Amino acid sequence: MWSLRLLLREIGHRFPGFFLGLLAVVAAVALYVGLETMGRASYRETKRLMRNLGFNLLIVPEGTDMADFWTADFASGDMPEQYVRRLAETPGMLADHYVATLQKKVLWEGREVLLTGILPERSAIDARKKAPMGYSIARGECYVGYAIAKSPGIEPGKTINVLGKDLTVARRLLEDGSKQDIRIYAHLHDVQDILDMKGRINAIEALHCLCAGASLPDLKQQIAKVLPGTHVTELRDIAAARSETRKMVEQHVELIVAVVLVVCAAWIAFLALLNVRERRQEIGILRALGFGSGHIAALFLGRAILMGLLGALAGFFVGTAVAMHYGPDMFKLTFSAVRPPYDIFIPTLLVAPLIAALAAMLPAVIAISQDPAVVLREE
Amino acid sequence: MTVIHLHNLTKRYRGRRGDIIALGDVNLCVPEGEFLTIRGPSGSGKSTLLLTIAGMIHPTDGKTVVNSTDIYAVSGRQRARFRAENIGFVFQMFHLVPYLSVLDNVALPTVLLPGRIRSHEARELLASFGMSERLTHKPAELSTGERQRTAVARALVNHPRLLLADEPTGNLDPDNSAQIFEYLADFHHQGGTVVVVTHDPLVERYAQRTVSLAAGRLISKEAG
Repeated sequence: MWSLRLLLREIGHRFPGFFLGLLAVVAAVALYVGLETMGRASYRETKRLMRNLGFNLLIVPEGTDMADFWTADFASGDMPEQYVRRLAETPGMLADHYVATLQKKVLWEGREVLLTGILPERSAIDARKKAPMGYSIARGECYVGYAIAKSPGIEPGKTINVLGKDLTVARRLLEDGSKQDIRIYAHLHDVQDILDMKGRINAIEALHCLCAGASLPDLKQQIAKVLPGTHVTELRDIAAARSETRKMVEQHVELIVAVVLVVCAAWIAFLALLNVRERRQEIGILRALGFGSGHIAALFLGRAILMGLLGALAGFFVGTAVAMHYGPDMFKLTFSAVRPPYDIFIPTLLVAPLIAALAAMLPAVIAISQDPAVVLREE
Repeated sequence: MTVIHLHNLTKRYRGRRGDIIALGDVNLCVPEGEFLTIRGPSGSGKSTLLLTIAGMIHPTDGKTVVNSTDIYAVSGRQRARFRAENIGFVFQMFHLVPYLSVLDNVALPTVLLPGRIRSHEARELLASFGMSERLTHKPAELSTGERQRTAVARALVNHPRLLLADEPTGNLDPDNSAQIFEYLADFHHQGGTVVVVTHDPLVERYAQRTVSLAAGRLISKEAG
């Protein structure tokens, strides 16, 4: 109790020095908490932006000649539609957002178009419900690519006949500069009817989870077990872009936090050293009165711990407030998900005093090893 | 009973031009209840001797027995504890803790002893020193005389058997000096042992014996 009293009185006596240290901890913790909050938001934002790049996995029937596939943009073989359900209902898969498709090049109105049937996206059974990545087309409706939409009479709400089946144009797609511009998208079951391929698909698109440890060979092994007779291809550009961008965001935050922690610790150590210098006589007299090394060290480490604790407390709320204020403006897609990082509150309260104590360790050792006789003889 | 027994006490410091002898073969016995003065020119080793008796300067050779304890044969922690329980120390520069009140400064040594902190004893002691009005004041708000009175009260609060004082009146005017020596004499009259390093001639009124140091050696023993 007396140690605490000594500690508090000393802090009160030399408050400017303590305040400067406290300010450093507040700044460091606020920056860490702010960056963590923004980092999480940025991670979500990047994830969303990257997800918008499209699927990064393609599952096609085994034996598909990928050279032909890339030329034609669809697999010549087919596989059962129920595969997509089986995949989605298998727990522990390293992928999500499964979309079954059936595509064929067909002649329509005297031109070649890619007729693409899409089944509404299925989420993995053990994944959180997420917004679909691709189109979700109702039966009897279709979306037409930009090149096709330029043809006269293709208007939203109008009906077009595709190889004997009437489909209502629900949407005209914007120019994409890819084969999407010559596609007609419809519900999978409508396209199966048109192509007389009931219950068949020729590809499943999916999103490979890029979380730690989710490697492609592992995923391929999983899929081979669940869907024998299929072949998995990674759309490397999209996957690499996703992975690299996420890593970059994470590394940025880690680097900044590390630099801030080192600078803050150095500042606390410097202030603690000044404090030891200023208190040489006091240490000498405490020694002369019979106070041991433990008591003396406790005074300096206790000061640092208190500084860390108060700084962490204030820094957490300052950092959170700043992040909550500016976060929503910075992250347009995921602004609603910018939340106070309460899960790091307790760890911050524990780690900040620990780092402050470690920073004050050397000055405390200097204080302990100071010869009281030398100080007490100085006049 | 002998309170202090110094046997061939030597303290050498290593210097660039060889060893510097701060204390050389000092032999001294101080019986319980004695008021002893140590005199000597500056640099003669008086303060070193006092701090060695207090257990704060480890001698190079010799024995330092205080209250029947060879104080350098025990651990640092035991020595610190021994000091808190047996020795009171008064310095020329007072060395009060600047951020504690007068009362807290005096009660500070009692923190180290078992049992409750003796604030009431500190209060009574300060009252007997005429400091009742100053209990909540900080050292910076006191006169030099009041500071030294506080320092003496702090040295006495744990009821030590031995009081060591290093130039306790070096910064005081004659009136305050006399008052401080009166307090030391009171402690002595109650059976305490006092060892004072001083140049102040006032001490002759109280000292029973005076010894002199020159170049770290005890050169004379004279009756007070």
